[in-house]
Amino acid sequence: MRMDSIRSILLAEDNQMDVELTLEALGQHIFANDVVVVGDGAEALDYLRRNGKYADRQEGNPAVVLLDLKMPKVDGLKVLKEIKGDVSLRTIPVVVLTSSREEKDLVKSYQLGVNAYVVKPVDFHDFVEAVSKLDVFWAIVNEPPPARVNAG
Amino acid sequence: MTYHKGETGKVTRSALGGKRASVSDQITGTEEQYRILFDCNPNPMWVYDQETLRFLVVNDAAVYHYGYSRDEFLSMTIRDIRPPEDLARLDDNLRLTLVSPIDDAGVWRHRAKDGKLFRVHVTSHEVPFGGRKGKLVLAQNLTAQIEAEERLSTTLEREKRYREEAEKVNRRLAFLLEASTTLSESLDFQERLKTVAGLAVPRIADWCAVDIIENDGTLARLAVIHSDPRMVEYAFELQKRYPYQPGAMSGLPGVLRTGRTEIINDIPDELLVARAKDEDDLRIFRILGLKAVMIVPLAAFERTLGAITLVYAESNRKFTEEDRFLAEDLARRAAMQIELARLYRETKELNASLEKKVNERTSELQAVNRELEAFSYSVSHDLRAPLRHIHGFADLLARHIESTLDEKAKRYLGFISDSVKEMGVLIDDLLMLSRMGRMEMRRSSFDLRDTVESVINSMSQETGGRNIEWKISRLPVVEADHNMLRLVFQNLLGNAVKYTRPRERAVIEVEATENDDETVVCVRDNGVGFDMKYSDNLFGVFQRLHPSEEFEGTGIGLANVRRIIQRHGGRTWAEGEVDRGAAVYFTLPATKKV
Repeated sequence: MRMDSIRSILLAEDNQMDVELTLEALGQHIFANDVVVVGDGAEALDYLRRNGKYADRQEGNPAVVLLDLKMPKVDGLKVLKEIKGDVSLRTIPVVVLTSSREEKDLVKSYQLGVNAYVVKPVDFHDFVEAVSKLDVFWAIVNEPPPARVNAG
Repeated sequence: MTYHKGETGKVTRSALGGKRASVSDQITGTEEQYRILFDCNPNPMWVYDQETLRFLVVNDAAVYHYGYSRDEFLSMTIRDIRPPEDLARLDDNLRLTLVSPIDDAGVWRHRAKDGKLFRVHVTSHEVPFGGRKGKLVLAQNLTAQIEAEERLSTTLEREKRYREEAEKVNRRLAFLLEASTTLSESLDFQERLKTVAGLAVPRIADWCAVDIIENDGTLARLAVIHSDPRMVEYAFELQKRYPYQPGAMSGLPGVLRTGRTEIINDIPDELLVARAKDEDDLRIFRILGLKAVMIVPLAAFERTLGAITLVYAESNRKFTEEDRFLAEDLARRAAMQIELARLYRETKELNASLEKKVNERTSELQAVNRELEAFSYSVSHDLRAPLRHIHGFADLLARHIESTLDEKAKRYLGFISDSVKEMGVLIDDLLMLSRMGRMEMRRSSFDLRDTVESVINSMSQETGGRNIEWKISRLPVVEADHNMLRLVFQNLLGNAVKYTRPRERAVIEVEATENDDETVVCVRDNGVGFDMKYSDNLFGVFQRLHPSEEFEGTGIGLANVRRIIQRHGGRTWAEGEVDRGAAVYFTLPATKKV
């Protein structure tokens, strides 16, 4: 495991308590050194496209996007659709992290090209487990495509 | 071919020649020849005295045909062979024939001795006979000829009558056919009735009126057809002047009430005068010239819908039985069509309203379903989030102040955690139940035994360390939603495992019987059982027969089983006895074999 392979995680979640629990869960297993938290879908897209208040952020895509489905302004499915429909974004692994067990959300997410779909368990220990597995896999084990593919 | 010449031929020829020779030998003199012509003539002949009318001589045929002997004849006159009623004509004729010597006297009736009359054609010729002024008479018997002619004429007459009859039937059929065709052309019965009334005029009436009973019981004059269009107005006017009185005994009200045809073939002017309320009425009556009226009910399916009034006026005709049959037939057809049209209209309206209701109900159900979906989505998402937070922060709190927590505080935090988890399971189960009702079914063919075995394998955690004897009999291949059936067995086998926990040795059986209609599957255990009194409660939501401290569970499992089996068109029931085990049955309808 090389330290430089850990890059930023974008967490799109509107519920402050969920943000805190997720950060806690992430923090229990890896260095959550660079988790960017956005509170709605519009902000998530701004971050990814370096628009608005993120116009000046450092270039580059996050290692993984953790996406809640039920969010104000632009919902998770819409954000997912935008990411997977954008050539410069579609290689970013997207994990839907949601309370919804509804089959239609699951089906829709996979149709839109989601990389993983995780139902947040009620039990906090299970939650920590699920999040940490994702985090380790996508942020550390998974090798992102070369930069030039990212760009083009 | 062989010709027999010589002797045979000669003999034949000579024989013929010989016969001819013998006849001519018998007739020797001219007088003799003429005598033979008289005596042997096949027609009766005689000579009578023109003055005394006495027979002077008669031939053999006369004796033979008239039955009198030659002597009797000679004592009679020609008046004696005639019926008395013909004698006047004979006398007239005798006077005339005096003028012309040769007479074709025509056909006469002669009477034989036995009194039988027969017709003869008489020709006569004046001849002098033994010094008397005689008349030679040839009486040719016409009986056979006349009978033949009479037969012929009867036949012809009969044929003519049949032909007329057939033509009448034909005309009637053609008329009815035309009427039927007209009637079935459109569903607008008013239009059609007018056309049919038009057919009746002038064929079976000079004018015709159609009246229909309206829904409110009043009578509406729908159509008046008159051979003279100017009269139509008068006919309508008449109806206005004499509004429908349902109580009246005769006329239209009578026919409508009794459903029987009424014919008045004789309407004298006095009757019109008597019926008319004023001069104007009488004027209209007379203009319309009512002479004969026939009122035929329009009845179908035991319902009188109205009546057709047929009137003869200027044509001065009467209504015959034939007219009555025709009119009744016509009315029956018309009424039938009206009724059919009405039924058709009502059926269509009923269908439309049913369809509307179905559509309304469907969209209501769809709305409810959408609401349910939204609700369960909301439950799924929003109800679980706070639970997760409670659990998460309780855990974090516990860790945060771990060092300062006493045993009691730890126990309380444990309760919080357990309750939250239980609530989570409850929500999940409820969501599952709701999903089972709404989820689209995906049928496929699979072996139930495979499903059962796979479910048993997945329960290793619960069954580990237990002594369970599984008795799985041969199970059929069924066509059902595989995931749903898997859930059924997860519930049933899960229950069996759970409720046999107190048994040292659990026996769990799965068996199936098949018949033409369905497959009956039974899951039986030797567990704690239940009281049959509560067997119906088993399948209700949140219905538990055992305290949750003893047997965990949300009380949704069997409700889910029932919902799934119902969606497959099957039934569910349970049998049990306290402490003697339980058996849960479900059926799956047989798949239609094509």
